[in-house]
Amino acid sequence: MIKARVDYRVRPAKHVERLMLADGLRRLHVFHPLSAYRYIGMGAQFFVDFSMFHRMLGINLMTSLESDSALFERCVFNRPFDSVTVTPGASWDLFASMDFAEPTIVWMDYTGKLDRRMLGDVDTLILRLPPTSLILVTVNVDVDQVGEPPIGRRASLEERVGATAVPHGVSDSDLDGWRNASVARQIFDEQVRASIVSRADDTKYMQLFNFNYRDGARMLTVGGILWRDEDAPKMVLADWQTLDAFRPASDALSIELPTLTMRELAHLDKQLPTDGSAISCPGLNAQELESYASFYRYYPRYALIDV
Amino acid sequence: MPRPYPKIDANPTKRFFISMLVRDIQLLEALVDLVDNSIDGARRLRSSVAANGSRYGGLRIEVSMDRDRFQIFDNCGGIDAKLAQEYAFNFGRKADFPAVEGAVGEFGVGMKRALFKLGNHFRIESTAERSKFLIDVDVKKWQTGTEVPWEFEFKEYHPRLTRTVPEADRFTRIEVDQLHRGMADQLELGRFHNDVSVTLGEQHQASLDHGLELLVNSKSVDRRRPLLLESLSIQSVHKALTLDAGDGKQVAAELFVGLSDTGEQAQAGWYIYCNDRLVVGADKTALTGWGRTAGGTLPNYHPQYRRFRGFAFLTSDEVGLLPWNTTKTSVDPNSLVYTRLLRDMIPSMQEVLAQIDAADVEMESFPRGAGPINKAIKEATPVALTDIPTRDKFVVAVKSARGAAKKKVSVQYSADRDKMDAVRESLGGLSARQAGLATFDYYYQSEIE
Repeated sequence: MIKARVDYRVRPAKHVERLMLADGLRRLHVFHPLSAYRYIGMGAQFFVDFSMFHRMLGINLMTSLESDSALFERCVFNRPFDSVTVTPGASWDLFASMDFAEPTIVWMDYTGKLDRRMLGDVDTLILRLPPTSLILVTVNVDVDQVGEPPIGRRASLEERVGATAVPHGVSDSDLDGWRNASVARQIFDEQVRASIVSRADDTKYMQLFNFNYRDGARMLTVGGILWRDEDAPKMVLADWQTLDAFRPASDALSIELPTLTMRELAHLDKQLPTDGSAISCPGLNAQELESYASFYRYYPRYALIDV
Repeated sequence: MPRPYPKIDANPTKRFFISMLVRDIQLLEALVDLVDNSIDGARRLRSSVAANGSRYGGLRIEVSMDRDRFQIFDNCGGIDAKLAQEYAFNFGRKADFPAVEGAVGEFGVGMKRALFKLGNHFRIESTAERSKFLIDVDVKKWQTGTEVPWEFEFKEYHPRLTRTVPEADRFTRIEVDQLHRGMADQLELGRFHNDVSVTLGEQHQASLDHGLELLVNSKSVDRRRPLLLESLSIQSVHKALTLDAGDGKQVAAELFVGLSDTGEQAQAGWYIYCNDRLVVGADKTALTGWGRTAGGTLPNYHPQYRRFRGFAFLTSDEVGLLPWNTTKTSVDPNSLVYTRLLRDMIPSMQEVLAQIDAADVEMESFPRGAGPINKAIKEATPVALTDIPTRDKFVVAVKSARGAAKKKVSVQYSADRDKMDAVRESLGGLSARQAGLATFDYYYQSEIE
């Protein structure tokens, strides 16, 4: 039997997200040289994010968490660089005992919907990560199918995350479409802020990223940086607000990409970057043009090669 | 005649008093205490159910909080100025305090404790039927005053207004600011707001049912109504009791015991309400009979009992008869009323747990839940407690599967481990034995039945 697994290399929205994140992570150099950072992710057997962050940012120390024991051997074989280690086990079994001595970038790139154990991970990390670390979470935010009429969405969310994790005032009708992503972001955010309070020091959290995209399913990636008062001048230096992907609140960056031909891409690229004046291409509507203009630097170029 | 020894000043300092007073209460409990006071106001104002059935229609309690301030506002009749002077802001309630029918806030300490817990400055303003007052206390300044007995000063005090204030204009507003650091940190958190909302929704679901509007930071609190499974074949217990409280007095009680549609661990167990206020929630300890070995043996709580729910409602106009503790976070297990109540809780609990055990045993033979008891549970629907007719016994009316058990044949086979693992996983993590039975069931249901 061949189990269908997503090939994360060719997901265009995910690709754009990774590049935009790399753009942001680069700014961490104001705190420490990037080689001093450790990266913890969930690389599966492809390690796309690992390769990218090692090549583009020069991060060496990298750990991939692998919960699928059937995949473990392949993951070890596919390690792209010697400094990448693969640790078997689920994040919720590993984070509590991991050593977080170095400033760390953690990307909990889950494929499932937000649940208690993930919030537990967030809690553990927020309590244990040193300041100037960065935390990212990706979760599936497809709407819960609970029958017709769709009542009981809040109840099923409560079952997954616990009643007091669901924001006060959220009703079934709020858990529809992309608003479901917005609620998931709020749950994550409230968890982060509650956990920060239990650190009982002057650590603060600033959200940097908030992506919505479709990867087959609707997906949310949200995260930010932990910092202390003494890091304030460097936070200014990092100039986060000039990042294309900077989204510090509930307003999300929605990655929607038009499907374009090579000729169209070349034609449009010649008109970019634009100072605000309109770009054009025969047959494309304003929305497609606008979307391409905002993502063209990150737009994936795939080609089918017959070898 | 011997010279008298000097006397020791045994008056506690105010600072010491405050620190003792607030030490034993959690922030969340302190806040719900204030809401209890408002609800008592509503009870006083609307002592009986209106013709349209909505006892508290038009009444609302608004709680709002952030980093800088806490506020609670209600239009539930206001606090009488004279009452405020003589009782509400007195330290410890006087014995001659006039009873409020079915009151929740028995102990005069509640409000002061909450205010001291929160911050260094509070302000209480109220307009009642024929009076109005305003109190404004700077706690730091008050702490240093040495007056005996201790007093709060009114900023405004009109104990006898000449006109009757219309109901719509009566209110109480309590504000606290200069919050203590730890409190401010909590009051700012979305997580804490959720916590307050869920707690109030559980604790006061009956008052919310009666039309009371409860808002936390301008958003309505949803009542969290307890539900039990009912169907033609599953019938929950509903007993109406009168419990002896000693001295010829009695407390009314209602008991509901059965199964829940959700198997959420955190919610399993017993819930005990006093005057509609939840006091013990999701209890799985000896307090509610679990693990009891004498006078009715019961097992310890175990995850297999996660569908078990029991609800006990105690009501009395004399709040002193109810078995709750001062923080309303538990019951006194030694009180006469509670001992009597437990005597009725235990047999019902035994009946329900026995059925859960039977359902579990049945899963051995019907791993996919196709056995009659599990089927009946799956097909039953959750209903509100008020819709459950009175019944002394828990009933699961299904044909026993035991007859079938007699004509059994054993089958044994070997299968490829990887394939079996995949089958087990797709069935939700069953054992190999259960997976074997489940796949047989599956074939039988789709091809033979």
